[in-house]
Amino acid sequence: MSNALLAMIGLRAAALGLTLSGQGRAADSLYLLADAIAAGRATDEHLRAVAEKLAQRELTDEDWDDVTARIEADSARLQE
Amino acid sequence: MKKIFRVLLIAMLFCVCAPVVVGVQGCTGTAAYREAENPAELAYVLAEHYAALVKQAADLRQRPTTPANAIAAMQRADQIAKPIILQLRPLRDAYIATKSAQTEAELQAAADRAVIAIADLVRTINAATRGTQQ
Repeated sequence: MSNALLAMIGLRAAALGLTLSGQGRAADSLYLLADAIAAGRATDEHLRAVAEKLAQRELTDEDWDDVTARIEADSARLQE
Repeated sequence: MKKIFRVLLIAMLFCVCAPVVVGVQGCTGTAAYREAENPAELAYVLAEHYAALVKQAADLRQRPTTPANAIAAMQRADQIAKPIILQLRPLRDAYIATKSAQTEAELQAAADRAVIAIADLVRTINAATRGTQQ
């Protein structure tokens, strides 16, 4: 079982404990964290490539042009 | 007494969960956030994170099995988040140009807003993913 899966199970169990003890808002935060980790697995490779880029060189305007264009294109695809 | 018990419970959960979360972050691609050495690089990592998520959301939107309400939720999250994310670049440009405390504070505040916007999109994507799997 992966560390990520164990963490998600642990966080959701902790959130349930908080919900049962009447700490709804704290439980929401733990659920949010668990959700973020789950989605983080999907973007893992992408962010790893970004980390390598940052480690290797300075960012340029072209890097920003590129990421902005990808956001605009995929956002348009989502909003169709 | 009950209040003390709750505080102790939260403190205990934090002690148990925090090392696990930190450990997980070390192996789930959040290295990009650790590599960011200044607010300008942090802004770029946030933009790239959003780009990866909105691509995932768009892919889910095109799946015939994704429920309509989940698609609508992702669309709403994107409508709110995209202007916040796109605001990062001009603020980064201003920060790079002047390196003043004010532009740094403005960029940091925008980064804080972006984190919340990203978390909201993540929640809708996870809901859509669960809906697709059902």
